[in-house]
Amino acid sequence: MPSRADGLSAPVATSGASSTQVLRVVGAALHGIGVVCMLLLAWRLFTPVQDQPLSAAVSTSGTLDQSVATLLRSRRDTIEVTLDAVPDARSRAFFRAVRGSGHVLRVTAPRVLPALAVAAEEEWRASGGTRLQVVAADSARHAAQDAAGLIDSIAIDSAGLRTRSGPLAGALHVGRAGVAPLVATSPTEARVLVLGSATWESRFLVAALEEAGWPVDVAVSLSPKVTIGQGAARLPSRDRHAIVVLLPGAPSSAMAALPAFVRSGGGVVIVGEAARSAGVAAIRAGAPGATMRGEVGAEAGDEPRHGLDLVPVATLAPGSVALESRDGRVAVAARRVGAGRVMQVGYDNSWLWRMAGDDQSPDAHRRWWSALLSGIVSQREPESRIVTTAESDTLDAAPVAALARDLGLPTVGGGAVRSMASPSLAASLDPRWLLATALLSLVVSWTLRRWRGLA
Amino acid sequence: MKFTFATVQYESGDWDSAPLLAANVIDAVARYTSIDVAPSGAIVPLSSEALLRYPLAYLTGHLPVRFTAAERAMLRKYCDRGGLLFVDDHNHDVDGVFHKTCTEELGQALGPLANIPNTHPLYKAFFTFRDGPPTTSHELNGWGDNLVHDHLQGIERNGRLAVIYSSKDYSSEWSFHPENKKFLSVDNTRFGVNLVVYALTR
Repeated sequence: MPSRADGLSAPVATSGASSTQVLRVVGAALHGIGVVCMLLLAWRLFTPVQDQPLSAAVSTSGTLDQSVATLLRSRRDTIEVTLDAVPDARSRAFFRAVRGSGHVLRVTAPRVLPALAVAAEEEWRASGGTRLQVVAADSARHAAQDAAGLIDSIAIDSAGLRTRSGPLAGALHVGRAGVAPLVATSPTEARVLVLGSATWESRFLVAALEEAGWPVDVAVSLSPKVTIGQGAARLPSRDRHAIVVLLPGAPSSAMAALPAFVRSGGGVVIVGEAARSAGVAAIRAGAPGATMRGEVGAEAGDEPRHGLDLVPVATLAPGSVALESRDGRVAVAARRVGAGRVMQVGYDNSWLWRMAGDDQSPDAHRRWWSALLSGIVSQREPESRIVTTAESDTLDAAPVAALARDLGLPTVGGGAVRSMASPSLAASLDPRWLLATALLSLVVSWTLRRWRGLA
Repeated sequence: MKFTFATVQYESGDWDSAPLLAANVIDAVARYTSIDVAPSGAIVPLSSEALLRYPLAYLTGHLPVRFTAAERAMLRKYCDRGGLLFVDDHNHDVDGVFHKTCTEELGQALGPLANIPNTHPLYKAFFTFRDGPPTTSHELNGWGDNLVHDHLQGIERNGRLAVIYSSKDYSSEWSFHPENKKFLSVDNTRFGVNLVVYALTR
């Protein structure tokens, strides 16, 4: 007959066995989990993982939408940049540094970034002014403004735009492009020496240049022994003159100094028959051809320089560039000689244009000559290009070109890049979580085993 | 392009009263300078656009001067563009009809005449005339107004001398055959050289 204790102990034993069984199962499961986590941790630690790229974007303002600190704290190998606009100079500098540190930089854009470039150069005019050149990839209208405010709204076609404005106040911005104007050497520094004989051409050329604001020295020969002029200097001097204009009949002593003058950085304009002088054979833009007579009366027409006698540049010297032609002949050509530039102007009596042309001709003659001289004088370096730190962060004369230079042009189609493939399994396993889970599982498993033994 | 001495032809008066003057000035310019000068002068109507091709022009006469509207307009355009008109009173007489009418016409077209100081660069352009414009034999003989005119007169346009007006009768003084210069102790056409050089270099 079973005892009372037996009757009581049997259910207890059954219940204890069941609990022990549960604890054993749970402990084994936790132990298994811990072991698996340890194995995964070991696998994770010894498996190279491709990091998920960090995404950054450049917003329409041209600046990064993440702080530089955030990007620097990330330890990703790859940074993807999506450009909604052309990044500013500071952002580009950061990306260059990121790439330079060994990171992979992927640059994409949802659409083609519109190219735009702008240049500004002060003009030598008595009234002052700025010459603007703007090119754009697409026809568009852009607002041009400087520090003083809006200047104008500029319509740009595929051929670009050249226009003039008054003096600029600080940097010029056209759309996203900005530039500090190149400051041309001021007229007080760019003195011109006109060499020649007493002719109407020398007289009216000097008048035109002076009216345009150029300080002019003159040395014209009146007889073999008499040379008269204005200004202190009768010979070309780099200390005093930026440009020499050589007309026919110039004193031979002055002509002999021209090759050295131009090679040291001066500008020389050789006019008409003066190109036949042996003294300039080594520096002229080309050998002169036979003189072509101008069409009488044409100086008052639509093409006034057709009325002028022309000594064409028949054979261009190596490196010379034709700048203007008339009736298939080169009328104006230029070349570099040493550190200086030479321009050869075939028109021999441009004074007729000024004197006998239409009502606009005096001003047109003046501007034409002034532009020719502006083209060969060397620009002042380097202070004309210095901009403040604040400006240098925002000024880009050609922002898309600068982007291509610094980072390469972006891949168009940012959406595809944004939906890149999901990260790998190894990359998705965080070692910290694996270690914590393993430790917790093993500790609990060990605790259960101890508890089961006590029980 | 050679320098060509131009004589202005106007509709009133006797514009051709000194036919030998051009040849004499051309001779002097060729004799003393290396300026490339045309051997013969040109006669240009004052109302013609062709005047603009001759930035120095000479105008003289004895008789009353009355410019037409076209002549007046062209004279104004010529001077504004940079031309220089040398006017000489062939009467050398301040009360003469040429002087009265011509100065009146010039005043209407361009503005009043003013004395040119005797230190003006005109008098040092090539030869030096320390006392201003050289006198003429007609002045010294007491003909006409019986005066030696101390100054030439002028009109400025755009800051440049556009008109030189003389009452000294250079038209008579220089109106002889150039060959006869050899009889002169001092060539009296030297001031003509100054006029041309000044026009070409001012």
